[in-house]
Amino acid sequence: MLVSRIEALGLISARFPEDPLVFTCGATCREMASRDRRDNHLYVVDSMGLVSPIVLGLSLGMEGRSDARVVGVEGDGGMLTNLNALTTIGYLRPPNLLLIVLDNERYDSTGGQPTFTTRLDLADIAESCGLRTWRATDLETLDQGISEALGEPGPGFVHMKIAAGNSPAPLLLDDPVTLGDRFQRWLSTRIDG
Amino acid sequence: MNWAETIVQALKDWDTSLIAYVPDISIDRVTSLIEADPFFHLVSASREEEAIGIAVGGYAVGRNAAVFMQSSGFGNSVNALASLCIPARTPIPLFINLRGGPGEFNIAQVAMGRSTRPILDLLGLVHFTLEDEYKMDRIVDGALKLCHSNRQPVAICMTQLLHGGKIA
Repeated sequence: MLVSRIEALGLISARFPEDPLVFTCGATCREMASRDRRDNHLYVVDSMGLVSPIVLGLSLGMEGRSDARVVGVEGDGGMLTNLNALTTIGYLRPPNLLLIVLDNERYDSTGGQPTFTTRLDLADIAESCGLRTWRATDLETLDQGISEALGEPGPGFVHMKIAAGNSPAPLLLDDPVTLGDRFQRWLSTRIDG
Repeated sequence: MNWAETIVQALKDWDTSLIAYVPDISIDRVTSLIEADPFFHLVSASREEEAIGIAVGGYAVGRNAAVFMQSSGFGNSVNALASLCIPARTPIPLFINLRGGPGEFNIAQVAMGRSTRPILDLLGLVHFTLEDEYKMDRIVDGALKLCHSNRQPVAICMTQLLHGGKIA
């Protein structure tokens, strides 16, 4: 039995209380904000596919200034939108970058249409781009994958199959300036110089 | 200073050290200077919207960032500008090699080149066009100042008349 997205998000948020977490748009942002909103979260409210480039920019900006891991939480649809970002990350190999992809094989924020991950394996693709990959199918293996990924230099890629469907959560209509400002203020406490 | 050196100096003056770009031969003179200068961290992206995302990540962690691209690739960046930079008010300067003007040899470059500035207008983004080096230092410096004071992207469009362009 696959776990729901909101259960996986709860575990991810609890595992990274002191690291920057960047969440993909749509139901992922809404569910995360409703479950456990924190200052170290950046909610990318409507930019499909941009989590990976944003965490790459954060990783490059933080290298040598912080021991934090920069964590991007992406969906299968968002990953496929900008799949080329995996090649850039794999080429640059930022050691402080971790991507966690919650893959329900659906565009669940746009009506549940199937994505290509019904046939293709994102972990294989990430591995071929040079990322260290772990696979998870439940909360225990997600927790274990995160622990192992944190024990090695990145870039890491934790791929988890989750159940289709969204949990009830209110729309996230906060001003992106406010969301970004809260995250930036928190981030400034985690970097040197 | 020539046009490429002027841009490099303005980026330094505004402490803009993270540069994301999609390679282009006409602006290679300036990106080559950036690559050779330890002040900068030059990152090659595979696509323009990705370059915007990288720049936004850098800005979020306190490093001013700029993006270099060609006008054909500007089309690839519009959603990142409209859905991320504008609503989140991120001051990312965009240096765009503007194709489709006098001297253009490639029919496939004309439509996007000609529509780049109208699209910037529709997005409400300020842009400046450089056709020669006259007052260029003041224009680029002023554009970067405006970018930060307005907390929105600003585009600096560089034409073939400025940089010589790609020769057919």
